[in-house]
Amino acid sequence: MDSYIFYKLFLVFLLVICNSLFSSVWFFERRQGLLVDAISHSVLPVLVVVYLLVNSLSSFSFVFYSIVFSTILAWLISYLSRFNKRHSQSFIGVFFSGLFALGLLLTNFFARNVHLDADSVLFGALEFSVFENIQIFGLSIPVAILKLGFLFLLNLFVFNLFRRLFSALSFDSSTLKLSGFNVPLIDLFQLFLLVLNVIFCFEVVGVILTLGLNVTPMMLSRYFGFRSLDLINISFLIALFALFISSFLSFRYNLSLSAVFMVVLGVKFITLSFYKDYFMKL
Amino acid sequence: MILFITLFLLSFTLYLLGGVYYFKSKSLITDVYAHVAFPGVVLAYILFHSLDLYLVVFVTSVFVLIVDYLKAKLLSITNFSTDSIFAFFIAFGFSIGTLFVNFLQNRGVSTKAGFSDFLFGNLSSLNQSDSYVIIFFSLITLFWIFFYRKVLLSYLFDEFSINKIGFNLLYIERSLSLMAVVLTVLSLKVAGVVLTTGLFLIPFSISILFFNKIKHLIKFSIILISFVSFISIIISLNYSGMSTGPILIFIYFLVFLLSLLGKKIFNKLNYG
Repeated sequence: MDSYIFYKLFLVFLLVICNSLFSSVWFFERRQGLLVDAISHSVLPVLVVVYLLVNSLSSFSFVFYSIVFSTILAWLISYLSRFNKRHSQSFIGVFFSGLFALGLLLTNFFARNVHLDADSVLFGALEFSVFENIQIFGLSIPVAILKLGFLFLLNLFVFNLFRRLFSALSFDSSTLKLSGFNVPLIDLFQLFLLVLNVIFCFEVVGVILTLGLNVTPMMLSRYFGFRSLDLINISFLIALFALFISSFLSFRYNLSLSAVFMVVLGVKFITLSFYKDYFMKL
Repeated sequence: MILFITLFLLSFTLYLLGGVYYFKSKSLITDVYAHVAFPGVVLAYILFHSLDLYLVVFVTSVFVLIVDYLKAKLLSITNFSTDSIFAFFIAFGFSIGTLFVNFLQNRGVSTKAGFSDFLFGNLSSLNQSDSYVIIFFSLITLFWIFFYRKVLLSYLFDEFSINKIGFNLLYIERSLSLMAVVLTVLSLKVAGVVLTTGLFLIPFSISILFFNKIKHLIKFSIILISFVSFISIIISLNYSGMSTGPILIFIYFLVFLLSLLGKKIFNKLNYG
């Protein structure tokens, strides 16, 4: 493979990881890992319907409407799952499987010939993400890098600005309420950020690995830190290390980069969980 | 007719198991099984160069049970929530499957069509022997549930009383896991990896909106499952290019939404 393309792929994947860390840390703190799963499955019908309305996958209106409708849907799922806490898993399961089925049917009927075919929904299309380029100052830059780079800057800005507020929401929402904060609005804002991340990463790594990237680095970093900032920093280092290993394996043996990455992280997590006492002593 | 019997028996068995997991608040465990089953299916192909259902069921069930053991162990030795551990195994299992597919592709094996049936479900690809395998396992599970119905009720609503009546809790839990794993693998060819969990959850979630007595739940489920199975078979046989999984699950989902709406309106009219 051309080394220039390799670096671009590496950068795209690194940006996907960073964005996933920022958006998932709060849901991980709130022990709502499967909400990410539900949202990543449920956005599919929204994307297809918006594509049918605006007839484009890259226009601003496509991104705008997708984000708006997906946030509303995510809020609905989140609301329903909290409405009946004891059976929240059932509600999440019913909604994500039903909506994903609708998405697959719509894809089959209307969007077969675009990037939204059923296989790319499941597996993503990382390898193709670097071929759609835009010229900036004579440089050919992949659109995916621009989109994910913009999202990264936004995530960084929001994280630094609202870190303490989001942290308080994760652990003690009633005190926030008593202090006069509009908790549902903050909640909606967090969901909006998660949806934004899911929509941008979905195209690159697919539905299921979006979930993996949102949860696994956080779980690994939990062994080394507790504060949200520590979790993000440690997760980033762990993910970067895993990315180097998986890039080597992936390009050496012609395997899917995202799948190798997830397996490397998974093996690390399982090993660390079983031998944590031994590693901690070291 | 045989397709209808197969789909009906499978759906009804999944409905009962789905009910058990619903009351135990572990509904999404079936989603973990389904995603972890995907690498099992590909592994069966790598080992035997065949996607015959009985081979797939054997290899995949062993694979999923190993992962299930690992999952239970991780839940006991770590402080992570069930949600996080489930989410991890869903992604980890599916990634291993993707790597197995890559391995086959690198060896020049074209397997896309065969695996698509397991990823998205394809009822029309079930042959007679597949149907017999599904019917066989469904009947065994139904027989087990019928035989242990009283123990199961104790397990659902008063777990600790099981030991008092002379049963081993571990035996009940392991048997349920084994049956759920085997039936999940069998249902992959009907509903697919991602949507199998819908077959476990949606029909039961519809019934529980209206009824809370076991007798009524079962009667209603027979009508519901017969109706949806019949419609899905008609659609999937007439539109051969379409996967069955999405059709089946979407019809159930539509019925769920209508039932939810209907119940809200009914409650409003009657209780204000």
